[in-house]
Amino acid sequence: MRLRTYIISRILLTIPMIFILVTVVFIIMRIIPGDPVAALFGGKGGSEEQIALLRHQLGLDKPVYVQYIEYMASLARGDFGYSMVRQDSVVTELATYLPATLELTFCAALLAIPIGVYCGVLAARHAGGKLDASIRIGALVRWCIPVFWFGLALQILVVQTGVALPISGQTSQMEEATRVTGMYVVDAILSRDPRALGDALLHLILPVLTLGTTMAASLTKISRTNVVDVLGEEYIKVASLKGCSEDRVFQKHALPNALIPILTYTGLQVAILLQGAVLTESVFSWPGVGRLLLFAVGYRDFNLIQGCVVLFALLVSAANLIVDISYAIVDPRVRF
Amino acid sequence: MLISGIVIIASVLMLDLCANLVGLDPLKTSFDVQSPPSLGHIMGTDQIGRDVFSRVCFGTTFSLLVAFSSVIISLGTGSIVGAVSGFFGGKIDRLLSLVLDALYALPALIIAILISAMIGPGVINTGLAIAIGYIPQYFRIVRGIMLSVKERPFIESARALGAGYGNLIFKHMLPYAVTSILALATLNMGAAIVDVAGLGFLGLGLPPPTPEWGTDLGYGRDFITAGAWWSSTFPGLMIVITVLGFTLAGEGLDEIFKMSTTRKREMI
Repeated sequence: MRLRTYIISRILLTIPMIFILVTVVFIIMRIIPGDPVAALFGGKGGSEEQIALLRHQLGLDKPVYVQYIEYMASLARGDFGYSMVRQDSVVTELATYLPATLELTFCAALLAIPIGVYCGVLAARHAGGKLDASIRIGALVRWCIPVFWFGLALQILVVQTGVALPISGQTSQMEEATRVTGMYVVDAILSRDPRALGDALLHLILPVLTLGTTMAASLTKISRTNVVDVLGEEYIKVASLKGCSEDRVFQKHALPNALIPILTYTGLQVAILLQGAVLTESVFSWPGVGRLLLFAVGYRDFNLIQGCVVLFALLVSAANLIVDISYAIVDPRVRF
Repeated sequence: MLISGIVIIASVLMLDLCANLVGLDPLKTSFDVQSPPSLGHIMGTDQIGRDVFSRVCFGTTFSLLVAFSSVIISLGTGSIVGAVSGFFGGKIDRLLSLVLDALYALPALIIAILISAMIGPGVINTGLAIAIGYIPQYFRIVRGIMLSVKERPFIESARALGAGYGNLIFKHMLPYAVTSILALATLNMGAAIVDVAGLGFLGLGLPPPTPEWGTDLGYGRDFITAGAWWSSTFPGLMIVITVLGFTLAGEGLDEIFKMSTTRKREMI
């Protein structure tokens, strides 16, 4: 199969996947015994007319299959419904908050991938030694520290030591660059404002450290396992026996083969990265989709909750698609 | 690894037991508000004068209870659905695999947030909310094992002798999955503790004044800038230690089972 054909068929396969994901979210929200309208009244219970009116406004008085068809049809048109609490369309809300989440997760991945892969490879090369043991223990302990507590610990550290680092928010109000993309680092560069850029970067340090090190810890673990596995393969022994130097065996034969499964795993990490982002955003008051979701949950805004979760599902599918395509480029065997 | 994990888990449970025996009270308030760690309160007191040490000790009961119930729910559901899917194959298998793969793509905590927002707080509710996200993992493992065991001659013999579906699945096939499920469940116990604490931290866990690590940690965070670091530091430390215990035990189990499987294969 040619690469182009593979990419096209992979993109087409994503459509049913998204369809099923959205259906699963829809089912979860309908089969769970909680009533969104009762929840909207905060358990105090409105009058029967109020409840009936709200059910009608939200379209919940129609049969479930009609609700499903209508929901799917509006999603296909790019309409995620109307947020009762925000008094705005869900799409507008998501578009406002998504850039901050993308900025955070992208920078976290940018920090995590090189550190995680490098540490994993380093540990595997010295497998069984002291360096290996300390990297493994370090990664294990970091993996066991919950994202939110790590973030809080960093905040405590900054407050107690008096380091001049912002502990919450995406920018200082005084230094805010003109909003173009919503990713303030990009906006500052676009508006050629070095002060805003410095401010945005300073705000990124703690959240990115929090989220990035979590991902780095699990990447270290998986990279080490993969490299150790590959080093045990027969063809590595053959290369060594043929007189290849240790470095050459490692760089030419072991590393390229070990990096392929690591790439897949990095793709799978996107789900964990997004879940970590929800908590990180909450700790650092980062104005992203995670905080929007928590806001929606706090006010029981049915459409907004559904919109946020569907957006997360779309992001995960998109990440999987990108990984599969890059996998096919790196490893031609996949295409056949 | 397994032994150090078990030692950590046992110590955490002992601490919980001792706190119960000594008669510490996690709900008792005092005028000694937000006092730093001292001899009287070794982990200090929180914003309404409750002893942080007592709350950390009693938090073990609730955190472990919720995490355990979520693991049991996901293990039970995932294994049964996986067994049915792998055993019968065909259209049922394809449909179930599609739905559970989709569920697998969604981050577990986001599903948990979604569900707990709908059904409200409580031990079983929170356990259920967390469990849904873990079902696909058990489904995949059990389904895979079912598919590989299904074709073996002894299953054919059992069928020929007139064994029913239930008998075949539960008596002859599922035992092959027990070791893998056990290792996964131990690892998931650690992950579930983090999720319970995460939900508590976000205000979606157990209702106050129940002592729960994540909830306490979340309440304590508002006082960090005022310098009161202890009320959120110690519950967090307890989460890390407990999760470390379960992760070590889970990975230790996994290693042992993998080694025994390879040895069996080599012997054959």
